[in-house]
Amino acid sequence: MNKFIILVYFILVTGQQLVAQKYIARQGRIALFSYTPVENIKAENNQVLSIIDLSKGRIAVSMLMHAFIFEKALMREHFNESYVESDIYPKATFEGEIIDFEPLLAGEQTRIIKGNFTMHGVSQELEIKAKINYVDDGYQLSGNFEAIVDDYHIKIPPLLAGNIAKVISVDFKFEYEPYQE
Amino acid sequence: MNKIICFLLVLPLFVWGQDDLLDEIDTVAVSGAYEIAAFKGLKLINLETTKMVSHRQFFFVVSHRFGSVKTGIEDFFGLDQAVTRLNFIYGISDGINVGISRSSFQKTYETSLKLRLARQAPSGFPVTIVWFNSLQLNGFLDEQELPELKLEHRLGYASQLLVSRKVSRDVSIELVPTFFHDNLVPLEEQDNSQFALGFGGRYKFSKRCAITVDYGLHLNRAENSPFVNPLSVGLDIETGGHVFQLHFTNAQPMNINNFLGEATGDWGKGDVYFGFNILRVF
Repeated sequence: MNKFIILVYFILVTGQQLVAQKYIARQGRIALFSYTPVENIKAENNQVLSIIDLSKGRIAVSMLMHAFIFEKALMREHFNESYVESDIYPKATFEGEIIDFEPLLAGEQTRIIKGNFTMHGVSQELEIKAKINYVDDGYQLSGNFEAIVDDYHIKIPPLLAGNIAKVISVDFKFEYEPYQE
Repeated sequence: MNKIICFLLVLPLFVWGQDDLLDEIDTVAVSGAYEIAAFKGLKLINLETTKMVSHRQFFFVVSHRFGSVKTGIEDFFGLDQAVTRLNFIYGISDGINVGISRSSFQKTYETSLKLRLARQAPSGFPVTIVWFNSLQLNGFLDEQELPELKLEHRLGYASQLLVSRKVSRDVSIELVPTFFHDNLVPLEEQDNSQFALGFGGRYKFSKRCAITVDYGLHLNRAENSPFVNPLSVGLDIETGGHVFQLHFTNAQPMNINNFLGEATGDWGKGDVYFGFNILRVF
């Protein structure tokens, strides 16, 4: 009887681990674009972390704000100091669910990802359309969305309103590989 | 006892179900970067700051010191007696800057070399250290009046260590031990080689505005020297591509050897100069 219980226990514990497979992306890329008639500003972060839990279709993303690289060093300084205030809010994160995700579907699938994006200490619920591609025991995920600067309580001074767009376009691309804990 | 074993065995099943995906990637240390923007401008007011021009960037600085406000409406509070300095600074790399300038005070030409030696990091080195060197040429000395004058008499040198610390988001302080040498000094009793200790700081009272103050303590001034130590207070306004610095100072000249060695104003008598530095980034 005791042996049976132990057997059931190990099947439960190890079985769960088999189902709960996770994939991680360590060098995800997120690019920000601000288009105005005065100037276009672009920033890129190539060190974005993301993880997918296949069993629940859940996804999480975490990025350091000071890892965004701009064309001009002074832009990066202003971005960190005056806008996203990265000394107080060093990270931006996303946590959500890939709706109707089919992990074993070969090739490309387009899915809606629903979740909370937190930046500058403010959370917003977003629905983002993303392409997911299953290749060679890994996943590629890419897409874009638009972030309204004001939604995240980031103030653009009137003097610079012409230089910085009110809506920032965000591109993302991740390549996931199996994650061993 | 059995219950406890049972509980311990069942525990992982629950723990597994409650983990947070975000926590699993929340492992990266936040503080690895350097402190940024201890100062907005390349100058505090008169003293150089530890701010560097970035790689391949080009700064243009226009500085004015009007005449003494003491003269009142006759000179329109100094407007008629302005001293102007134009300064170009280029970033060869993030840690190496070169500059060239011309000031209307004694027709002074100056070249400078600025090297960053260490950077303040949140969990690392406590201060930023920059080594600033300049060579200046006095173009005002007249060979008609001084027949013995040679090129070397026009030259002056300065070398200073800029040591700054961003104490908090709003407060930064700086200490500037300085050595400077004039081949020709206005006063016979004055040593050609002079030492000074500059210090100052800024307080940011809003996102884009800061109050600044700096002072230069001359350490071996001649006893009968008419010159005084420069004290300045100012306001920094940062607008993206420009930094505007407005200030009152008792030193009209803007080159190191001149404002440390030849300041003449007197705060007590209201004999101070209004001035500004405007930085433009290209």
